[in-house]
Amino acid sequence: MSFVSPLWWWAMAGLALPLAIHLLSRGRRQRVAIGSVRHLQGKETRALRRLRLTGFLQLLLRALLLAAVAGALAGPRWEKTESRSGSGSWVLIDPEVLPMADDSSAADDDFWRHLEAARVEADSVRLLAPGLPDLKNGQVWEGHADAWSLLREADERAPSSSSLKVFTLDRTGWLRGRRPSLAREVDWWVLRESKPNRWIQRAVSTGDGFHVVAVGESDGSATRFRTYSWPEDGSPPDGSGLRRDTDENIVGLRLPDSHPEDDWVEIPDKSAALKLAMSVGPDRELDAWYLRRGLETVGGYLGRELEWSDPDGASLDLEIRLGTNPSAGSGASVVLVDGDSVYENCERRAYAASIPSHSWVRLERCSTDWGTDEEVGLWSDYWGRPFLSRRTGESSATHGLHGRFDLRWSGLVTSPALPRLLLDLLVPDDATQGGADSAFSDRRFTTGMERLPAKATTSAVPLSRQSETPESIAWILVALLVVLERWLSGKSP
Amino acid sequence: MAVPSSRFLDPAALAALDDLELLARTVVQGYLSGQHLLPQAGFGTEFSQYRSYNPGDDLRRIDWKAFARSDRFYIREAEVERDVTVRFILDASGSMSHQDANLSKIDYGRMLVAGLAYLAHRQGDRLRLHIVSNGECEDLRPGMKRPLARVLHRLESVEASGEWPSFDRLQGHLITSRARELVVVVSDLYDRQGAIEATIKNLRALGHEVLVLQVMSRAELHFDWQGDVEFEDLETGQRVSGNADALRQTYLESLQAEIEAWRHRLLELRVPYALVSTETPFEVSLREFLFHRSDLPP
Repeated sequence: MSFVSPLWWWAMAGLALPLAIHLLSRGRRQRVAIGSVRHLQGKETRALRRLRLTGFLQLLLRALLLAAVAGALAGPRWEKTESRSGSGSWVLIDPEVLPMADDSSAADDDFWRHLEAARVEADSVRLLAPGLPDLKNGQVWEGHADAWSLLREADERAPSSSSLKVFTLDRTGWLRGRRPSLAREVDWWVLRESKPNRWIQRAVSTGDGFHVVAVGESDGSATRFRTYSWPEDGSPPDGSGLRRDTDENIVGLRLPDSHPEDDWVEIPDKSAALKLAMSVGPDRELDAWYLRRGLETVGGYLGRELEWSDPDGASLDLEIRLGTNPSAGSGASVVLVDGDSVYENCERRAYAASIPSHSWVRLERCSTDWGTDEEVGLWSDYWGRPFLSRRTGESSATHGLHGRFDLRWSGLVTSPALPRLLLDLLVPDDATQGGADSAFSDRRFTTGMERLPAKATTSAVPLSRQSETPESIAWILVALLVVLERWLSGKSP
Repeated sequence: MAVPSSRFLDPAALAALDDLELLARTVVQGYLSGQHLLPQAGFGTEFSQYRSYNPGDDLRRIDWKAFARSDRFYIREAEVERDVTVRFILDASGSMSHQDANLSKIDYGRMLVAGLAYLAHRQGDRLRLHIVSNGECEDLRPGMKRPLARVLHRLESVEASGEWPSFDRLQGHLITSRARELVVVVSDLYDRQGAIEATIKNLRALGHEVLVLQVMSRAELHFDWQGDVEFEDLETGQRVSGNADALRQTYLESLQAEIEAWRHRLLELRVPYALVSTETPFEVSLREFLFHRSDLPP
């Protein structure tokens, strides 16, 4: 038997309540002064014994009643037979799990045994990636997305009788966005990597004779980054643990305890400058200023300079058009659009007079489809409205920015989410196809409580979807106990 | 002070009256209403009235000074001095302090004594009051000067405590005269050592007429407590705990047996007995008691 909302079992702590009432009521004995107790002598013992027995029965009954209420609220459900046998389930596999199947360092036999058993018996085996591609059909998607939005999508698409089994790496980093309310139970299986959570986050050549390397390190509670810098013709600092290898004139780095193939990081030569152009519509000068400053900051992080040129010039890496309803450019360009902004309406009402209190825009990354094959939502605000979307064409990609950078509009300019938002613009492939994790890795382990919301929120299960449930039986038991308790209370003194 | 005008006055309301004499008069007038009793006129020292001479009257009763003044014969009448002493023995032991519905048994007994004393005084009887408490007996002899006022004044300050003493300690107070007396005992009859029964027996042995009023509260008579109760004896301090609902049946049976035992014993002693509840109006209690008193076989 499983429970839809096992948290309700915490209500059992309420058992202290009837116990307290019982003990207090026993202690609260009425005292009466009468002329003589001669007519009562000899009856005391028998009366008290009855009192104790009755009180104990009442206490037991009330405790049972409370436990039954807690159990009923917890939503008991019989585990479906087909779920136990593996049939009637959707198996969702994190794309990053598959490459580790042959990795001897990831020797979590229990994990792989369950994965294999589930994969064989499942109705459907899919990658936990946008579109939930079917693994049985041989499709492979190498991107990466956040788990919550994908689970939400799987919950909507899977048949109501199917359960969800998720096999993922044990990383906090991909539990992004809002925790979903699912219509079914989710079985989680996590693969804990045996190798140390230390990796080379990014290595760049600054162009003025230096290498800059950021090394990330995660433990169970936090992820930290440390940056090392040294001359190109020198060796990495001793304390960094970095090792320099040269393979076919390509200079790379590796950590001494890393996997020989996976963690070899090439240090690229100084990249060419990114060529950008920006056309600014009316009343967008301040937005343009903020956007320019932000892009230059992120470009510095990438180790690439930004070269601003004429919008009509050729071979632009990024074309930015700020305006109410700008038209998309042609070719391989990116167009920022704020014309159909969800903030359009509130602009004139809230900020017409003065500026003062700008509110923070809380952005959440959600890499999932938004209805069409082309448009992918990259970022949404707290209410799930699109903030940055990406429409992919045959030879170009168009980003729609449904917001503004002006401080009078929001706190986006000072938001910690802004660098990643701009990174998605400058290096779209890096940011949207697995680059999100490589750019800002967070390899903390997940905890049971962090994964719990997916199960806990299954309390939103519509009852109509459940064919058989003992929940109604539990409530009938509660009603019977109430009647019995009332009857005993009325009978007992 | 205005007196409530209802036919049967609530004992608790009456107990709130500070003036015990007013209370006694109110109670007795309620009892006497419709009976048209008049004080007996006859021989005595206290002048009552003149009346015209009728043939057959004793010539010695003619007031000759009045004849000299008015040239008519008048008979001088005086209130009869009956030379009967009415003793009131009020049980003021601790058990009488039991209170129910804002009225204690000692308050009720105090008012009963006050009403009867008023009635006796109205008939010209001598009054005597004994308050029994703390193993002692306080003897109040009001004398001839305003006896009723003195009795009522003492009753106002009565407080219940202690136990009823043995008869040895009482007899010095009670056996003072060989004259036949009327003794009214007001008590709850919680007799521990048989002292109350011994007192009544000895008083009867001396030839006194004894009346017994047993005062009980409604709660004691019906045992209408509920739930878990710890009962404390007002005289001994002994405690008995239990569930009132479970104890009720046996308590009532035991109490009823004791009441019946008292009724039989007092009947054998030819002592009029009445059980009064503190919730019963005083005038009703008085009427029933005096009515049953006359029922007693000679």
